[in-house]
Amino acid sequence: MSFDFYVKADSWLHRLDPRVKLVLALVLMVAAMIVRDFWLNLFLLVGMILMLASAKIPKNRFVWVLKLTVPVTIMIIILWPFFYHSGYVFFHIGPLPITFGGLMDGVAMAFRIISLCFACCSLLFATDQSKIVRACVKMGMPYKYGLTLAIALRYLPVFFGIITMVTEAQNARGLDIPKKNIMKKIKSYMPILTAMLIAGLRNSDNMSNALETRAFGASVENRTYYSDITMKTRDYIAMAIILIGMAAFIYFFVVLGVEVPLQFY
Amino acid sequence: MSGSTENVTQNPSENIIEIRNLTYSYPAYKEGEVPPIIFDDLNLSVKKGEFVSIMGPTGAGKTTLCLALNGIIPHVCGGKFLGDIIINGMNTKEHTISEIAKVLGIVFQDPESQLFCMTIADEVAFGMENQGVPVDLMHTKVQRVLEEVGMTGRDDTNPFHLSGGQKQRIAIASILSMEPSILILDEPTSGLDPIGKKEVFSVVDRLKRERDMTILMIEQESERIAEFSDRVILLNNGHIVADGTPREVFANEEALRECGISTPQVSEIALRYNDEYGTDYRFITMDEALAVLKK
Amino acid sequence: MSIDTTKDPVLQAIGLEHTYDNGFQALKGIDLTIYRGDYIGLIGQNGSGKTTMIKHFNGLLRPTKGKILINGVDEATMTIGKISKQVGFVFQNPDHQIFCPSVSEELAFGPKNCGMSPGEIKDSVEDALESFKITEYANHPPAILGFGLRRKVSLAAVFSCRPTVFIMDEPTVGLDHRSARELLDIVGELNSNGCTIILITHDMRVICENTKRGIVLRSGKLILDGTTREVMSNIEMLEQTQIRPPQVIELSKELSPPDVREFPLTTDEFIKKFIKAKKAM
Repeated sequence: MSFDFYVKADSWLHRLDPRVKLVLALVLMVAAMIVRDFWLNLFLLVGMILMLASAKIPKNRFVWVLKLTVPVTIMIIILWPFFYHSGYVFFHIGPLPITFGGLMDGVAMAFRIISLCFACCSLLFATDQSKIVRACVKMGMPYKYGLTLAIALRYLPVFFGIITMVTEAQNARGLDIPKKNIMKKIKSYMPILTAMLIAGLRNSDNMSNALETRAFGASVENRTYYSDITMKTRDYIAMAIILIGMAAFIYFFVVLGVEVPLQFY
Repeated sequence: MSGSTENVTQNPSENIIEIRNLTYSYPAYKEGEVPPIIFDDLNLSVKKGEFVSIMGPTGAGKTTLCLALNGIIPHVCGGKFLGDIIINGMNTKEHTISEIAKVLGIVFQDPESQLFCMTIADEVAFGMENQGVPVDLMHTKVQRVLEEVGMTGRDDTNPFHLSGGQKQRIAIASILSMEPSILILDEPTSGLDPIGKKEVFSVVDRLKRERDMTILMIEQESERIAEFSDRVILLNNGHIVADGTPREVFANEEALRECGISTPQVSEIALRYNDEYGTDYRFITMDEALAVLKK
Repeated sequence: MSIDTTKDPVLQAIGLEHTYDNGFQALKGIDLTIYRGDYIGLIGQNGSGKTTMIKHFNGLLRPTKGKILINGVDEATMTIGKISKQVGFVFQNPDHQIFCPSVSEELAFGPKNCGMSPGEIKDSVEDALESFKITEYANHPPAILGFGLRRKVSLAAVFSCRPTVFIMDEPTVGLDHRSARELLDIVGELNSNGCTIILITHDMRVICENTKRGIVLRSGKLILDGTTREVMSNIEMLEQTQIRPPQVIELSKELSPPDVREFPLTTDEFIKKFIKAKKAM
């Protein structure tokens, strides 16, 4: 995995203005966070996967997202029923009842986490990172912060590269990272983190010199942009659809409070 | 192709770089500590269009000199700075780094930390964006410098995926696009494999031939230095130990020994040959050496 | 003169192949035996498979086909901790391996992982400090030392495990000529004390002036293996790999009759052969 999020392709999602995609991702994330209902969560998740698939995002990206999220979600599904109880009781563990409602709620929670990730990905997979930053700056973010964000994204792969190299350098000196004991594991990561910090600090010093040399901070008001973004008719239409969708969603599920019944018979 | 920029004030003398009585030491780490003096009354001038190579051991002050030339020293680093550096008529003390950047560009040693954009095109355009170059002109220039460094047709590639030599060529392009009249290369090939080195040096060769630029190159590769340079400067402990044509400097045994730097093998052979036969040969290329040795 | 094969083999690659997860075959069948006391210069462009091969020697990668023997034992049966006791590998960037508050702790990290006793650790740390001439910096924080010293610390920190085979990736990059010379002298001394050395470098002068045996890799295959003189004198083969031997070799070729296949490696040898000898005639 090269940690390059962007998948170069030509699809309806790729062609949309990054600002529209930014709004889309935000709306999807908010939806994923506020929806507690099981069926609706499932619907949201399947919807997003279908959307990304239609935007020519290859299968291995989905697998990658799932690989990242599944360990967390499994933990949630196991732990959630201990703290949340409703409906049919399966059995007791000590004084704690394990209920159908608790279990389903845990599953819904897990879906939400995965949905959140996919919502981010709908933006990251289909948008060149520099365009995201450009969108943020156009929507009012000061250029300095935009650049910081861009550099952070750009150096992500470098950062992971350094982790790999540092880990290998330590392994070569006989450092065996234990698989089981968590405390021991954290402890043995310390040398790796320290070495990375040192390497990172040296890197940042060099980078600030390089930025200065390229006239960074010259006169921010007069700054021009190599690849600018413009909203086209289809972008306005897409934006309208997103906003109407969001309004409808809020109306039905927040204002009216519609709930799809979920029962265990 | 010219390297002139509109905002450059006309330099009265023909020296595009002038260092006068430069004395510098970095700021102290701790209170009360006296930091070592990097330069002690250094004087140096470079004529417009010269190709100057600077050699010297670690700690000689080569990189500090680069940073002083574009004003990062003293503007960012601080420290004790006496004397003047005049770049194309601008005193570095009185001008901001970005003003100096219009005239003088630096390519650093580590390509990784000077490429911070997501695509090659953005990288090359970054300096021009900061200078407010109009978008249309920017697009033309990006293509032009990418052609110059032999990296066309890959505008959307992430620099992360390039080889070392390619990264360094993009770093050069991103400075060239700002059209500085002075280009400084701070050990541009250190750490590259032979193919990478060859790629970078062929770009340097092309710039020397085709652009009307003043180039200052810090390098260790003496054979390449002998090939390109009009002038070689040996620096040791902040002092200029030797200054002259490659032929003069690579024959200056005393200075070479003091700096402990490597020289082209042909130059070494010339010196040893002279010892044997009492001649005064100064080879800097293989052909010269062969012409004599074949006799 | 050819390679001395009478000594014990310490590292053997037998039909070594490696294909990465993305399908890229980095090694296409390497057969190589490294003998005790060898001083090898490993040559090849980036992407030739050098690093992949070396990572097999110290257990960071496992073969997808073929095998590696360390002192005759199949590496597949050993853990990385056990391998690192015998095969030491120093990465190119010292900052990727330095993290301890003092140089002596840095040097003790490897021996601790290798399971040495406190007494042994003390001895080997002192020994490594001395070998690399950094005893005076024992209590300094390594991270703030100059680059040349950091490089020495990173080498000493691997050497303190007392490896049988000591592999270094570009140890002279970023050093000036004098510091590089000093470091190579130290490495030469380790070799004459019996340590097997593999030096990876792009600097052909370093290869010619220091190593005894040369190995050239190209696209995952071993294309040259012989004494440094044999390898560096094979100008045609090196050219195909886009490697240029030092000037003395190219000059010697021009000055020698066409049937001569072995050339001087250093300026000294060159002077002896082409100037002093001619004068004596």
